[in-house]
Amino acid sequence: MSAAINDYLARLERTLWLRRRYRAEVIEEVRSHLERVAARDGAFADADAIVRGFGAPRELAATIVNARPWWQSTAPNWPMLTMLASYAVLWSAPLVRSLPLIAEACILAAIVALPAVSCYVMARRGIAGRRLLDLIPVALPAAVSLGYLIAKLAEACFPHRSSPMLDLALITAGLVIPLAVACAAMARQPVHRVQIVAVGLAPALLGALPFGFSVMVGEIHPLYAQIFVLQMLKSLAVIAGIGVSLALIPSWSRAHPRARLWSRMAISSLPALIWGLSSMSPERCLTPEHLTLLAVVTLIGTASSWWTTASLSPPRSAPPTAAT
Amino acid sequence: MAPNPELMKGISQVLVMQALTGEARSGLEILDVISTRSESAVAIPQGTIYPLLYRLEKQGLLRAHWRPGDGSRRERVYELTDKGRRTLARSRRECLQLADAMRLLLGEAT
Repeated sequence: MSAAINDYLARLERTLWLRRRYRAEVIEEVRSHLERVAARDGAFADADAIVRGFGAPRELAATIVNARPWWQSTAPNWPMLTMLASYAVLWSAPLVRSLPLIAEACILAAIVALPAVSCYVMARRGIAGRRLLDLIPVALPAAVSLGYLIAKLAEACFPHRSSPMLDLALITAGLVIPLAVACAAMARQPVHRVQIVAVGLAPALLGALPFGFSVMVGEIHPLYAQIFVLQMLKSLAVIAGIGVSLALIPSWSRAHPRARLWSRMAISSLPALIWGLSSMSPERCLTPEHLTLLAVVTLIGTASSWWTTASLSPPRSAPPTAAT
Repeated sequence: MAPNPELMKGISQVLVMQALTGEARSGLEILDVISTRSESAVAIPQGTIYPLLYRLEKQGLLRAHWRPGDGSRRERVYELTDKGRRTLARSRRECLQLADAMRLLLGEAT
């Protein structure tokens, strides 16, 4: 009907990351709206005239995608993807260690490159990349992966050195900090709880796969089966802990405003504590290094979990907000 | 005079749901109803109506269906669900109480 409307809708459709059916429905609905406005008030001079009323197509598309149910969206969950990259590096370490150094370096380089590619795609498709906070979850795992690669190279050069402190630094930097930052980034936009569970579940599968694969191909070692079960239990416990935190804290906060800080701290310490306790392996149980690790992870995990749930929870007694 | 957008954020949801009492309407009709009933004092920006409607639909407060529109086009219209009606009743009460309180508080200064 109008070149201006077609132009605006084409620009809207380019960044409307919904499944084809739902994208078509939104475009049809907005087209119907614009055509009726044009018929009533006169045709739009150009797409910019529509932008003045409807807003920039890219921003409208992002708001619409966030307002739709998560399963209709085709927008990649960047925090989750980067979390996966980070977890993949750390949890696949037992598998990676058995490879030649050059193969290990290639794998890690690929994982380092993944967030960079994500950054590029994100900036190009204009989903979020203009804000610094959106880039941090992408950049941080890259930095962690790079650090891990350097540490592995150093370990190869100095094989006699043990590395409990390296483990501490890696686990803290590689798991807890990206989790906190990724969740903070997710808190900036509506994220379904299923996505949060996926953040926990996917790494569990990633971590379990190498061991499961070893069992499947016949390389059955009692330790592999034990680690497989432990990994799954640990991940499920962490998911359950995070789920409980997210489910309980908002309602507790509303019901007991004076106990809000206390209840948040108590509940939000559970996931980190469960994670820390479940990471105790028989051969390293209760060593000073492990206890330090447990304390640090629990402390940082508690703080990050508290911050995350505080960010994700709606403010107490806040009025219902519009979808802007 | 259009109200401050920040002020509108909290009440847009109630206004949209109130506009849907009685009959199903499209996004444009909802905007028109709000503008007409408020004698053009309140206007929700066009760009925020669809994200808001989708969010309310996602929350189960509205349901949508297509109906034939002008010419060959069809249009998507929204109506309140039972949950939406209950939520609207509660929100209306809260808004009216707040309005009374604001009148008392701010009216004293005039």
